[in-house]
Amino acid sequence: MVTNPTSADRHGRARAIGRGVGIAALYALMLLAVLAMWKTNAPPFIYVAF
Amino acid sequence: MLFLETWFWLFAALAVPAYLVCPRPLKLYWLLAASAIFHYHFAGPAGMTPIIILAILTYTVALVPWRLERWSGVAAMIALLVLTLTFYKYGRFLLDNAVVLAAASGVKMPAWLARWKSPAAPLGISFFTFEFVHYLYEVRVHGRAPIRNPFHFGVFAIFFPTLAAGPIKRFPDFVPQLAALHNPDPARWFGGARRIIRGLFKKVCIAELCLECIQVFEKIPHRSAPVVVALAVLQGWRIYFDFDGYSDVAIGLAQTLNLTVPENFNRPYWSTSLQEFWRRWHMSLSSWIRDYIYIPLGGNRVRRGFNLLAAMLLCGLWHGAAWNFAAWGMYHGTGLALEAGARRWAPDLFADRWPQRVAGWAICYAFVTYGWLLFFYPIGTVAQMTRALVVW
Repeated sequence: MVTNPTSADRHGRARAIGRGVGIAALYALMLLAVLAMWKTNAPPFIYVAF
Repeated sequence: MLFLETWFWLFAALAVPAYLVCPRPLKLYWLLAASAIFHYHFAGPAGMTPIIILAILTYTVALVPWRLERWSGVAAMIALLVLTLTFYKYGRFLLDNAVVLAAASGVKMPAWLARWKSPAAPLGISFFTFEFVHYLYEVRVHGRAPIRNPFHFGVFAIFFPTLAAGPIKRFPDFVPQLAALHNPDPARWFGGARRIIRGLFKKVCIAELCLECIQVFEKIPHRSAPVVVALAVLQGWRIYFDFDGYSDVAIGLAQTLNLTVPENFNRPYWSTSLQEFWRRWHMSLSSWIRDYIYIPLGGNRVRRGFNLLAAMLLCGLWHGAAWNFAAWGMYHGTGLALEAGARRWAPDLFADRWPQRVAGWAICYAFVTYGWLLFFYPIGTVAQMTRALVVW
């Protein structure tokens, strides 16, 4: 049986889209911060020396 | 610097998409070729040779059906792996100490021996040696079926995301994935990409900020107690974000190839006991030490205190050929042994109630944080720092 989407369904979908956009924005910001602070002469990872 | 080099990201930008468009039967060969290119770039032919020789020997020795009741080639191969690691990583350290001992006892060492320079350790030797020992031990002691496909063993040996600094893989978990390589679904691929970004953020933005603060504190000529506390706390956060960040990049890269490698950290600074800390910190190493040193020594059954000390001493020395690493290992071994004793004689102290948990967390965090001083500074400097902490 096919039913029309209820208000709760629409709410759930909107919340999921909002969450997805929020996560994408957060990771975009993190990537921007990484690129802004990137140094070609950065200290090496500590454990690579072990 | 590996994951922080432009070359690496150009390599990854070609290697990962090429893997994804590669037909399924060819993915394994591409993975091996990409790992070999990565290894060659960072280690060069001289750095690749030891791992290739040891990998061929390990692969071959594991396939020979040694009679279990006799002295076996597997044991000899494990000894060869340990000796190789000792030669490259501890040769100079052992020689330096022998020279000091000889001078103290009036014995004259040959000049060439005192001048001998150990060759540079091959990239990732501490990690691949442990993976090979684990492999041989599982085949020899637990009777697991050895890897028959040489390409599978090759990828296990030099898988590029984990080659330089782990996580230390376990072959029963990793190798079956190679038999059915296929592309990740988009959610898994993006999960891996997000993990890589998180890892880079931890390293580039947090660990390096901690390092800059450390350098400011280290320049203060008079190291008072607050300065020492700040240094210890910052070093603790720096090493955590540095290595957790590295592990995130390695695990995320593997995930973009639809491969799962072990986790290394599980919020270790939330631990409420030292035992819990070592179950959450560098988990692929601590579980290796537990399975292949602590348990074979007798584990909890006999001489528990000695086993803990010995296992943690080796854990400390694994981090480097210097006395401060040995002291750091012994420090943690002593802490674990004391905690095991306290658990036995006063179990109420470790009850799962909030006052005990809060106190346990504070003691554990303070203990681990002080330990980072031993990890990062020579013993003499730590003695001065400790004096500053005790005498305000």
